[in-house]
This record gives sequence, structure tokens and C-alpha cells, in this order.
Amino acid sequence: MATSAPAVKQRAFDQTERRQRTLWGDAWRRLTRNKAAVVGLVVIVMFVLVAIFAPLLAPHNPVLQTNSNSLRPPMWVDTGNPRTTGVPEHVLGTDTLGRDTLSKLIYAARVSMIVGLVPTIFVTLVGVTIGLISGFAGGWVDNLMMRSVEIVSSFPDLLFLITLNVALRDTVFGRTANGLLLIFVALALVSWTGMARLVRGQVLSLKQKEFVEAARAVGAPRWQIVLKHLLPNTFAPIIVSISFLIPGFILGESVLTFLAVGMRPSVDPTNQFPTSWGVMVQEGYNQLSSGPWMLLFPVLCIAAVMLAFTFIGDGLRDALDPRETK
Amino acid sequence: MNLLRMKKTLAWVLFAALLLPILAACGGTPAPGATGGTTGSTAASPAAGTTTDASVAASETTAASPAAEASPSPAAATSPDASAATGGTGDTGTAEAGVLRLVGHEPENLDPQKASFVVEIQHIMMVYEGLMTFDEEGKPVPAAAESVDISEDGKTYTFNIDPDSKYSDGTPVTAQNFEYAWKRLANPETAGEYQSLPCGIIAGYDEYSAVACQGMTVTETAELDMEALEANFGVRAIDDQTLEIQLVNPAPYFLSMAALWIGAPVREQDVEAGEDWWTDPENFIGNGPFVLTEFDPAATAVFEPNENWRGPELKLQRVVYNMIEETQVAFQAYQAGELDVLNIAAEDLPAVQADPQLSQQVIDIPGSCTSYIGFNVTKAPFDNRDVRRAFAQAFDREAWVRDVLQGLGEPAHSFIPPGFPGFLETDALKFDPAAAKAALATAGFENGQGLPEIRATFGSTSRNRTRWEFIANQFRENLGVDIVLDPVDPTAYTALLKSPETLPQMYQSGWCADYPDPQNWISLWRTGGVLQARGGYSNPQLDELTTQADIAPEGPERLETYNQAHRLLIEDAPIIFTSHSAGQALVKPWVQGITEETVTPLDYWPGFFNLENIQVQP
Amino acid sequence: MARYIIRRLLWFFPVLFFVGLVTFTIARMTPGGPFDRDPDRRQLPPRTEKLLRQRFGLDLPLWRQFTRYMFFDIETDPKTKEREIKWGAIGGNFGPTYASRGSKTVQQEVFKGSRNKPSRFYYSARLGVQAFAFALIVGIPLGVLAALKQNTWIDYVSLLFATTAVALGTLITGLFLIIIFAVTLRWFSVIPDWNDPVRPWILPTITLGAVSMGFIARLTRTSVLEVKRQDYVRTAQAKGLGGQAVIWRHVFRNAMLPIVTVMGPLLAGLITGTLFTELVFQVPGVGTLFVDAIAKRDYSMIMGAALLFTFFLTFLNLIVDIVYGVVDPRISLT
Repeated sequence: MATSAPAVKQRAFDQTERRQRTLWGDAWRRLTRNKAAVVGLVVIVMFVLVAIFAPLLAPHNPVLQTNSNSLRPPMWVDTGNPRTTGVPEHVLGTDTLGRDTLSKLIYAARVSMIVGLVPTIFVTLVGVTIGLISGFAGGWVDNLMMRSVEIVSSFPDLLFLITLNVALRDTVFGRTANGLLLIFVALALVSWTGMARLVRGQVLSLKQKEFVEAARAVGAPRWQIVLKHLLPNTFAPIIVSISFLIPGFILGESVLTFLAVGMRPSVDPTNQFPTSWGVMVQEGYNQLSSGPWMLLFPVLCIAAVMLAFTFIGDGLRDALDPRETK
Repeated sequence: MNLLRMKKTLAWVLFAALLLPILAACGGTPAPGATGGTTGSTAASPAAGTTTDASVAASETTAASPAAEASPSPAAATSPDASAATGGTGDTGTAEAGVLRLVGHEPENLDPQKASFVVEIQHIMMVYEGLMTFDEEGKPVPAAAESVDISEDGKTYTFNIDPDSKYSDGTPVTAQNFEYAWKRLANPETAGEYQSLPCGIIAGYDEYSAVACQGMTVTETAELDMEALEANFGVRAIDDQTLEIQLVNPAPYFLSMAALWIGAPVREQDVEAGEDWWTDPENFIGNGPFVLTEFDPAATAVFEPNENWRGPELKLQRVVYNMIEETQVAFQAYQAGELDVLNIAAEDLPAVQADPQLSQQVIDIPGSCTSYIGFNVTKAPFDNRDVRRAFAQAFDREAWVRDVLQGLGEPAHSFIPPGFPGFLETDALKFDPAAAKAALATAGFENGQGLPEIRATFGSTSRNRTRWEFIANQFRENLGVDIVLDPVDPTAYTALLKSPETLPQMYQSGWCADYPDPQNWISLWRTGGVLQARGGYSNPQLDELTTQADIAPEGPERLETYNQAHRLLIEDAPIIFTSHSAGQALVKPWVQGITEETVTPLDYWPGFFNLENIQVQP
Repeated sequence: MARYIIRRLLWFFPVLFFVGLVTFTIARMTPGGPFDRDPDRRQLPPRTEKLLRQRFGLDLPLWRQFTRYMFFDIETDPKTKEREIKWGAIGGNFGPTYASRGSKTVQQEVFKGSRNKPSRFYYSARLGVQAFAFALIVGIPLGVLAALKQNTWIDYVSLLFATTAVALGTLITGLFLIIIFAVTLRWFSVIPDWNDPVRPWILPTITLGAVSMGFIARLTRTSVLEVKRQDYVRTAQAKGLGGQAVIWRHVFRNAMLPIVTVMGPLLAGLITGTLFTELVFQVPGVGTLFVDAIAKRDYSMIMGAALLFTFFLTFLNLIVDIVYGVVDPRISLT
């Protein structure tokens, strides 16, 4: 940002006007010009479509168990033994109970995409809000908020999640969307603290900068300072955090599943949320020796989602940067 | 080295590592699979699992080898993984002559009178020796006692302590040491899981161990005259060499009980060293074949021969337990040649079979456990015998063993596992969907209509999850009944099993032999017995038969009485027998003395009761 | 500054108190107790369990159990009728571990090694510090390089590495490192020999530090990019006035902030034990102990673990806040 007050003021005005007219348009144009970001967007859109149209895309029902069909490798694997050779019906092989890996993967995209995104949004909103307030207000507000953050990040969350589950699993809340709602809340409740501290640290430094002083000097209202001057300048680390939060949640969901929080296993063919990538990774880990494909494919999906969001994040950050004029 | 270049290489190597298994599978060998396995084991207890995630990992790994009652193999604990390690499966490891390297697990407590985990017992029984031990047939044979005289009425056992029997520090083992140990077991203060085992068997035991045997409260026991009770306690040292044990009734299985770790002769002076006496090898002084020389509970335990042991000279110079909680890692260690013996988990069996080298190193291990699906007999609909029978006939045990256990186990139709006295060959209530549906209709629930919601609660682990998905699918397909799967945290689950009020309608469990006698199985179902109290199933006829058989002299008649009770149990179906355990272990070619001939179902690790003949010669 | 630090130190007590209170409440609300084990094992008879509960004071009113754990309890000797104060956590006594039936206390289990062996805490703390150093020493330069060479192969490799580590998770990353370097290449042994001061530490350090390293590298990269675009840096560069020096000073100052922020919780988390790394590499640390404690409802250990972590977290956050002032002198916290 500029180094002198008048310039800042000038720029602030410019920005306000420009933003109304063309900022988002510009950003979008810049974003779409970024190849990596476009690839990322395509991947995410693809996964979202897969999740939505899972019933149409999945070759089999993901909970359908076929006798004597367990641990079949992907179709291109030929061992010479008909029992352990891949078959075209099961493109990516089957699991221990003879369920089709590809179909599971497709259905699992539903849970995993939602579980990656929804708590992330919550965490970002809460974390950023608390971080902004804490950093900007300073003094006792800051102290109180940061001590609360310490308390929240210190008590044993595993135990908390077990208790939460036991208390709520039989309520409407705990049963919504096969327990997914409970997962969101659980993941979000224990994960916002890092984001809050990150944003607060940024704000502490930013609020001392000249342009903020200047805005204050000209009597800009506080909310305006926070939203227009401080918030946009904290985007960079937030975006990095988000790109790590998403895969973290996707994997974390499986940990929760094994604390019995969240999705119940089911053999009901009408179940819309039968499994998730995280759960598949766990199953695959157990079968690592005998069915490595059970681990490989969900890991690749998670990696793809993370890369896609990283590319989008990088692109978005560049695109939203008002200084960028290329 | 250029750091960045290294990173890049590393990244690619990691990526390649992910792909390798697939490539390996491409060039694979015959293979495993559903029809494959004939041998078997799934490890001792159905509860044991492979580790996967946080808290579950925790509970599962500690419970690694579940336990219970002296299960044979630390089972699931140790397991493998194979084709993933495309790398070295060769036997190029650095074995050392005379050193046997095994997988161990961190013990919680090595106090013999408090321990109940296989992982603990396998430490204890290296160092201590009971009055008796088991031979390769699983029969009790004299150990610290050189002989035993049994009175004609079968109620007085006189053990003659071997005068050569010494503690590793050279002091002789006396009958008083044993008296102290058995009293310590009974003392309410000790409060071990196995305190209740001799209840009703040793004279004066119930009165002394009033909390565990009679359910007295602590305040009530405060008013008891402990000294008088101690004086009437049925275990008495007549002199240094003679120990007399009085029983309430004849109990042919008592010799087996005397071979368990619960009577290990700990010394008063060691125990007095403090609550944590066993944590220091200095105090952990026993009369067994080995001495604990190095002990880091979370890392290693090293045993070296006890020079004062009464038995033959040992061929091994050292036994090392490496505490590995992660089954996949243990398998890697075996392949790298850093372990000599390893139990195989069902999940990894196909990979072992597919590996030309590993498949040559497999030995079968007889199991001592039976897994079952239990019903809460006090709640609808399983208070109805026909409903229970319907469910029992709707479960395909062959598919269970083949697909879920990968062949490690045998389909079970009765309670006692094959190879144990009291095993019943039967196909009663075998898998038969038509009969199952008919039975359900008889019960008034044609096609499952009118059944209340059936909920199966289980400890949420990866393994349990897969298993319950299979089970639920069976009932759905063969009976048309949907059951609700309800995972909870494993410890919360344990708490639910404590009383029939909270016991789930369906649950999965298992039982392993403490000692080879039908009393250890069938009598648990007598009203007031461990398993009866859990599920609520009670049959006066069975009560009578077991009461009769428990005190009958050994012989075919006694066995027949148990068989009658066993058949009642099978026909009433308070549980669905699913499988008898059977295990497999990998043994390196340079290990001698651990073979299919020398392993027993009661082993604390494969070949344990053949210790003196085990040798390692790379 | 001194006043600020003292004030913050005083805040330790309410924070520790509340963490203790919340942890205590949650632990007691969770179903299952310290004597509930694998249901396939032989169980304790109900009365025996009651006896044990009584012995460990688990039958006292909850508020008294809490104050007894955190502060002190006055006990009357049944024989001599003498009263004695038994100190709790504030006196350094974190209670008996129920898993070992009270054979050991929490502080013994965590801080006391066995003969010639370091304590569990030593293993975890050393591993944590090493992983932390690895994450910083590799992560920061990698991030700076990636930023300076944006969208080149260096940039993508650092991204790929971070992605691999995150998507695999620590458990699987660790297992793959073992398969590659211990089983296949045989550079290391699968079973660690802790008498060796270096070898057994390398793979766990990398595994534990991998995700943090990736995060720090990405964070550094984006912060450096941010700074690079600032007008004054551009101006400085344009003027050619000691371009490099200017860049580095500003880059350092601004890019360090978010990294310093994440360092506090990161280090606190790393040194108080990490489950998966310890499991895979058989590190006898406190991570497995603490997670086990939750599964086993070992109340004292759960409390001890929470308090220990809180102490490190608050302490390191205080350091972080002080370092803010060093990195950017304009930040004032008072």
C-alpha cells in the first residue's frame, strides 16, 4: 500500500468506486486467465457434479455386497488367477465385502465435498470475526478472547466429541443427513482457534500501518476500517489456511467416524450418504497389504481436491489483489 | 546433497510407493481371495483390531490382544501387510544366534495377581512359574511342584514343591511363597479381574474374597474377622516343600487353574517395595525360565535365561519383546528381518499367501476362542426363542469366514472350539434362509413384519464397522430384516454391556479358554455365571446339568452331562455362534522349535510352552 | 514490558483452572469409567469395581474430587485421627493412573524414565522440537524460493510435497517412509534402537514435520509474494537502492508474522506428543499415553495431559506475542 496518508485516502476512494463497478468483474477475468486456477475450478466443479449426480454415475449401488467377490483388484490388473483378476464390472476393484470401489468413491464424494467445505466456511467466518475483533480492539477484549482461544484449544477435543455424540446421536440433530450435521458442528467447534489467532496476528501489525492511521485520522467509522482496510489484507494467510483445512476436514471426518461421531454404517441401498473418502482411507489402510487400491483411490481424490483448492486459492488471491494490474 | 532435488525425488518416490502395490498386484502370484484361505485365524478375539485412528487406535492397540481369557495369539496385535512392501521380503535380516525377537505390547500392570491381558501375561510367565504348567497338548503338568497328590474324594490337592526350584536370585521357592501368592489373589485389596475365578472352588476362598465372590460391600467386609478367615483359607503350606489346597468340591480342572499366572509365586519382600514394584526388574524376581534384564515398558523388554531355573538348560540366550502397537509396522519389521515370529491378521492373509517367500513361512495355530453375535434375551424381540433361532439360521457362516475372516477361522455351530474337551460336532441351526424365514413366521413376524426396531450397538472401530456391515447385510438379504447399526466409542460400549438394561439388542463378542475344560465354557451360562448375567438367558435345566457336571469326577459321564447342557444352549440360541478362531503365524526359517507340532491353543505367543526347545540359528 | 509479562503470567492460573474445569466436566460426562475395559475380557465384579472407586476417591462428591485434584484435600487418618493436607495439581501431584491400578502416578509416568532410560516426555519433546526445527528450516527457505520463482518447478514441487503429506496423513506417510527407507533401502531399521543418538530420530522427525513444513512453506510463499508487491518494495527495487537489502528487511518483517503466529500452537502440539508418528515409529512418548488415557477414561491422565498442554500453549503464545514486538516494533500489546 501507499506510504503517505493522502495517497491512501485517494486510493481508498478509488477503490470504493472501482469495486462497485468492476472489481469482481476484473477479478473474475484475472482468475479465468490463470491456467492453474481454471484447472482447479474444473476439478472442483467436476467433483461437485459427481456428488450431485452420484446415483446416475455410479455403476453399482455402493452398499451392495456381492458374495465371493471380495478384494478384486482394478480391472487392468491381470494375475492369471480368475479370482484375483480385475473385471470390467468393477473398474477400480472391490473391497473386503465385494462392494464396488468406484461406486463407493462416487458416493463418498458427497460426504467428503460437503464435509470439506461446510465446516471450513464456519471456521473461516468465526475465526476471522474473532481474530479481527480481538486484534483491532486490543486491550482487555483481546486478552479475554485470546485466553478463551487457549481454553478452547486446550481441553481434550476427542473426549468432547465422544460426549457430544453420546448426548446427541439419538436426537433429530444427531440423525440429520446420516449424522453429517453433527460432524460439521463437531469439526467446526474445535477448529476455529488457529484461524482466529492467525488473523489477530495480522491485524495487530496492520492496524499500526500508516493507511489505517490515516483512515482513522479522516474519521472513517471503525467497521469500515476493519472491513475495507484490515480484512482484505489478511486474505493471503487465510487462503493458505483454508487450503489445508479442507483436506484436514476430509481426513478428520474419518477419525470422527471412528469415534462414532457422524455417519452410521448402513446396508440400506437407499442411503444417500453411505461412506466418505476418509472412511475409505481408513478401510484401505487396514487392507493395505491385500487391497492397496482401496487406499490409493480415495487418497488420490483427497489430494486432487486439495491441489484444486490451492490453485484456486492462489489464483483468487492474485485476482483479488487490487494492485495487480496485469 | 541438493535439498530441493532431494525433496523432488522424495515426492516422486512417495508417489511411486503408492502405485507400487498396484504394479505388484499385476505381476502377482496365484492368490488369495475369497475361496482361498483354508487355514485360519483371526486372531483370538473378535474385538481386536488393527489400529487406525486416534482414540480408537488407542483402545484397540492397548487391547491389542484382547485378552480375555488367555487367548492364544496376541492375535490381531501382530499382523502384516505384504505386497505393499514390494521391496525386501527376503530373509536378509540380521538375525542373531540365540536371540528370539518378538512383538510385544506395552503392559499396564505386570502384577500377576492383577493382570488379565495376554500382553501382560506373556511378560509374567517368562519370569514366573506356577505350580503347574501346560505341555504341548495343553494338559497341565507339574512345574514348580514336582508332583501332586490328589485325595480320593478329589478335594485335597497336595503339591510337593521341587526342592531345586529357585528364584533367580538363588533363594529357594517354598510352599509359603505359593500360599502368599494365592492369598494375595484372594485379598479384596488386590482387586484383580481374575480374583473371582477360584470363587466356589477353593475352600474358604469365597469367605475371604468376600467382595468379589459374595458381592459384599466394603463396609460389610470391614466387620469381617479377616484373620479367622485367613486361617480357614484353603491354601496352606504344611512345610517348606508341601502345599496343601483344599477344594469345596471335586474340580478336575483345578490343575489347569494352578497352571495359570494368577498363582505365580510373587514374594512378599518384592511386593512390599511399593505399588509400582513390578516396574523395576530388581523387584520382578521370579522362579521361571527367564529373568527380565531390561525393561522399558513402552519400548522393549529383554529376557535372559534364569541360571537358577529348575528346568533344562535353555537354548536361547535372549528373548526380546519389541513393543509395536501398529500391526502394519510389525509386518514391515518382520519382512525387514527384524522380527522372528509374527501373528497374521485376517486383513493381511491374502497378501501373505500371494507372496512366494512369506507363504512358505506360515504355520497354523489352533485357536481357543469362539466368536458370537449375542442377543439381549430380556428385551423384545429376542425374548422370543423362535426369533433368535430365525436369526441364527439366517447367518451365512461360510461366507463370514471366507470373506470377512479371509479364511482365518472355522464356521461355528457350537460354543466350545474344536480341539477342546467338550467340542460338539453339530450343524444345528446351520445357515438355511428358508428355515430362518419359517421360524420368523412361527414367531409371528412373517417377513419381518411387526418386529420392533432392532439395534446393534458396537465399539466403533474400522474392523467392527466392516463386520457389522456384513452381518446387517446377512439379515437383510436372508431374513428381510433391517437392523440399525449403532457405533459408539469402544469404552462407552463396554459400559453398556454391564447390565441387561443397557445391553444392546444385538452385540458381537467372543470367549476364549482360560483352561481346557467344558466348565470354563458351559458353566458360564449357569444362572449367575458371567455370560448368563450379561445376556439374561437362563435355563433351569442347564443350571442343573452344569452344577452336576462341575463336581463330577473326570470321565465320559461328566463330559456327556456337559454335552447335554451344551445342546440346550445351542437349541435355545441365546447367541449366534459365528466362528471358532484359528490363527496363522509367520516364523522365520532360522527359528527352530516353533512349528505346528509345538504350538498350542493356550500359548501366550506361538510355541510358548515349548520354550526350552526353541533355538535361533541364522 | 515487564508489567505486561507479569500480567500475562498471572493469567495462566485462570486459564489452567478453566481448562481443568472443562476437562473434568467432560471427562465425567462421558459414559464409561476407568475400570471398563475390552468387553471380551474377564470383567471386574461390580463390588470389586466399587471398592476400587472408593480407594481412588471416585465416590466422593464431584466438586470435592475436582478440588482434590486441582488444589488439595484434607484427609483424616482413620487410625490416628490426624489431619493431613494432600496437595493436588498445584502441588505437582497429578494423581494415580487408573490404567495401572494406581501403581504409578501421572507425573511418574510422564516425567520419570525407567532405569537408564529417558522419560516419555523426553522422547516426545525432543521429537517435537526436531520436527518443529525441520519444518522451519526447510519450510521457510522453500517458501521463499517458491515465491521468488513463482510458478516454476520449485514452486510446484514444494506444493506437491505439501499435498502428498497432507492427503496421506501422518500415519500413512510414516508407513511409506518405513517401507521405502527401512524395508527397501535398509538405511534405517524398522525397530528403533534408542541407544543410537541420531538414526532412529530421522524418519519420525521428517514424518511429524512434513505437514507443518508444507503449511509453513505455503504460508511463507504467500507472505513473500504479498510483500513483493508492496509499493515501497517496488519503489525500492525500481530505484535500485540496495534492492536486495530492502526486500529482505520488509519481507522478513511482514512474512514472519503469520509464521510466528502459527509457531506457538504448533510447537505446543508437537512436543506434547503426537499419536500417529509415535505409533508408526514406536516412539515411547506421551502421545500414545495421552490418547490411550481418553479411550481408557483414565481421569487423572486426561487431566494431566490437558493441563500440561495448556501450560505449554499459554507459555508459547506469550512468547509469540512478545516476538511480535520484536519482528514489528510498531506492534504494542499493552
